[in-house]
Amino acid sequence: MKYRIFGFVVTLLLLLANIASAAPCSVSQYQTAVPESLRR
Amino acid sequence: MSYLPFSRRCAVFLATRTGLDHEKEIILAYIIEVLVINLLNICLALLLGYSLGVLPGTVACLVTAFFFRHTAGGAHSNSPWRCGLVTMTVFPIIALLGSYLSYLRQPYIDLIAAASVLICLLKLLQSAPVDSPAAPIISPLRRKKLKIASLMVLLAVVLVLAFLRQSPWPYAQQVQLCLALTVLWISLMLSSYGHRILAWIDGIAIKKERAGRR
Repeated sequence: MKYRIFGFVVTLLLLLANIASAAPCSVSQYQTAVPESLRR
Repeated sequence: MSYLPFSRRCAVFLATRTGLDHEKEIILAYIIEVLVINLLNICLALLLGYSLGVLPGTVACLVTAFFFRHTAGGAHSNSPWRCGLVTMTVFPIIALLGSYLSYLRQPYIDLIAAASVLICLLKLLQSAPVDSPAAPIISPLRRKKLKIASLMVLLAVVLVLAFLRQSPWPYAQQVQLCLALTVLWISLMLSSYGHRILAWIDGIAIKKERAGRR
């Protein structure tokens, strides 16, 4: 059960990472370094 | 890639529990940091806006900045904490300024809104999207799409401004000015002056840190 919850959280975070990396920056004035694999 | 300790710790924990490789662990650290920093900044800006009595204006500023920053990009600070300070203070201050200026007559508000939109249009056509070394835009097609998206956001802002002009909502003029002033702030962040301001803010903190070490 715990593994499934962690799996769901990780999948959701990875999906959000893909969405967030599509934007040049977020609302704040700091840009977190985008991982190489997500750069496009 | 360097991430803050809390995001790295969370990423290692989740990656260990689910058996992910190192590359996915880095992606997790990245998104945890993005979510935490942005949520913290937004919550603190809203809290400050609420305590200053300009919550509707602060929300309007944050929503406008969110869409513009996601499409047009802009200048960045080197530190998440200095950036937090800028983000949490700038938008409530813009909202406060908007609330003071809302006592102006409608033609003056229209003039401020029109000038802001025109300046932003010029800056978007000239330099959007502005990327950073931490998140470079590699594909020319993506660059083109982001430019078009940023112009669409500006068009949406113009439509909202026109709608608010006719609206009987008591906060309409205040929100109208907040949108116009946020558009000006976004234009500044797209320009070299915006980059210089944030570099100057970064510089102040570095000098203080050095002085503290001595």
